[in-house]
Amino acid sequence: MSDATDFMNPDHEPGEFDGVEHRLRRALHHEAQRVRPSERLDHILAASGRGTTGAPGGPPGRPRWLSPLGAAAAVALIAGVVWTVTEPDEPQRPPVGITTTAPADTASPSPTSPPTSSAPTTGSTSPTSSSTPASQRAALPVYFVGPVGGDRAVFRLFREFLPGTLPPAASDADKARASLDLAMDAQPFSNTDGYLQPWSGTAVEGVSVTPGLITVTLSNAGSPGVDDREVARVAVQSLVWTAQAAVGKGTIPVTFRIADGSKALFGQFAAAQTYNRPPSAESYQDLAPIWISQPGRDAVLPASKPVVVKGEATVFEATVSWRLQRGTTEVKKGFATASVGAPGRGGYSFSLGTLAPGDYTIRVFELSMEDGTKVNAEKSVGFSVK
Amino acid sequence: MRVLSVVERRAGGQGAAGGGDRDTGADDAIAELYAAHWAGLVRLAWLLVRDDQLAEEVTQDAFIAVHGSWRSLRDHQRAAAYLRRAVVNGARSSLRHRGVEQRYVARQQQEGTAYGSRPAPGPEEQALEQESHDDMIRALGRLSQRQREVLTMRYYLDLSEAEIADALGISAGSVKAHAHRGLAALRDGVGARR
Repeated sequence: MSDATDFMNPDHEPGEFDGVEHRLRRALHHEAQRVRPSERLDHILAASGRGTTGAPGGPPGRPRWLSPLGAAAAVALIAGVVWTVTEPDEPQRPPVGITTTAPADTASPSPTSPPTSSAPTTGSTSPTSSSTPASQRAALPVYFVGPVGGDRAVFRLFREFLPGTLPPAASDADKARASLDLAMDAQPFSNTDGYLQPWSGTAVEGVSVTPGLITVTLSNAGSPGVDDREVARVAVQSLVWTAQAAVGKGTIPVTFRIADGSKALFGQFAAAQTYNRPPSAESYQDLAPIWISQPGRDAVLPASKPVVVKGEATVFEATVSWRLQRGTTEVKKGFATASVGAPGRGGYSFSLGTLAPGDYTIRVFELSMEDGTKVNAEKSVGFSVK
Repeated sequence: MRVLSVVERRAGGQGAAGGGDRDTGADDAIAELYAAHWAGLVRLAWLLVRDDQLAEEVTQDAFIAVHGSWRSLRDHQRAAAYLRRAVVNGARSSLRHRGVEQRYVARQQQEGTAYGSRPAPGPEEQALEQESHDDMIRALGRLSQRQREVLTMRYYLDLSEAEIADALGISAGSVKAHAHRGLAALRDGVGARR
């Protein structure tokens, strides 16, 4: 690796910047440690054509990396310049060190990190190819309304990344549309996770996105069966979080139009007003207290590697409990600490060690502080080890 | 610190793994790159865009792009460099796209984002140190995007001048100049405010 003389300018006195260099380095490292990247390997692999998130709809056996055109276009989109990846005579560069900067504690998932679309369309340039680029498979962020678990009949949002297809060079509106379409249908999860289906009879008829407003046009005002005001509120918020996450440009306010002429979503929330997600310190208003983001639902994990469980939690004193079951037998249990306690939302992570092959369920829960036995919130995910 | 990942050590061997309709070689390689570089690159992106959501998106897109082009990457040893370049370009592009350069400064002053929430107040020294860090980060926010990129890659990732030039697609001389001007501005800017 280099030393400071790399940056020696003719008019740079030796030692001139020692102080500021030192301070800058410390400030950057200190600053960066505040970042708790969430885990996205599953999403990256899913978006790349094959994933563990369970994927109906994809053409099996034809992963995206077999489409060099799509791949090259994606690279060009990202980089803004075409890399020299296929250039035959790339000049020999001096050997460069690969610095592994990932610290050991990298793993905590982000606190309230809103999920983002994984569609490889960050850049604003167009693919340079003249052929028709293929649609992009992507892992799309979707929020569903589900029971927080435990002994409380409370419903909040759970985030899923679902496989979907985006048109080439998808616009923000395309991304929001694709995610919202998925958000309308919670049926695949209603048996396993108890997600409600407040939008099961509603379709998204259009989405427009400007830098200051996302407008979603719905076919109707939502399921008439939803009469609980809090459930209705969270159901509206599910679309807000989903649309904002899909667009991936922060908390752009969301407003609604209803094609059948209704004025209020579920007859209770004026469509024409703008909606937003709460400030991150108040995300508990919308988000379920405990999420499990890894392992993915029904993931199949290798027996050779330790199984690590990760997620986000808004829990008292940042403490979650967990139980691992194989079939109906409890095989392990323990506690874990989230990076932040309630009302903040923290990432938690714990290892189950290597596990014998079999089918497992991991249950993460918060015990009530009143008596230490009542469960305030919980979430379970099943996975297999082979 | 130089760490050779398994990916690099077995560079070139991936092509032989092909032939089926599953490129497990690419999946494995990406998983290893992910283990080694994901957190560092998200943090790099975050330092550049100051937005947790955007930082992860940019970094995720970089991994997806590298996965997608795995077979056409001539030199797998350079995969980490490709990732870095994609992240820096992605960060730059998203900032430009959104016209948010000015908001960079606003964002780091506001404590809204999850990543940006301040730690609980600690002992006095910690508070003082925090203040000093904040001064420096604010000063960094007043530099040009290019200067910020160069200094962040240099002092956060500890990259060499050649690596930074490579990642940014500019000459080594420009890297020197940006670094020098940036450091001078930081020294003067931070010094003047203290």
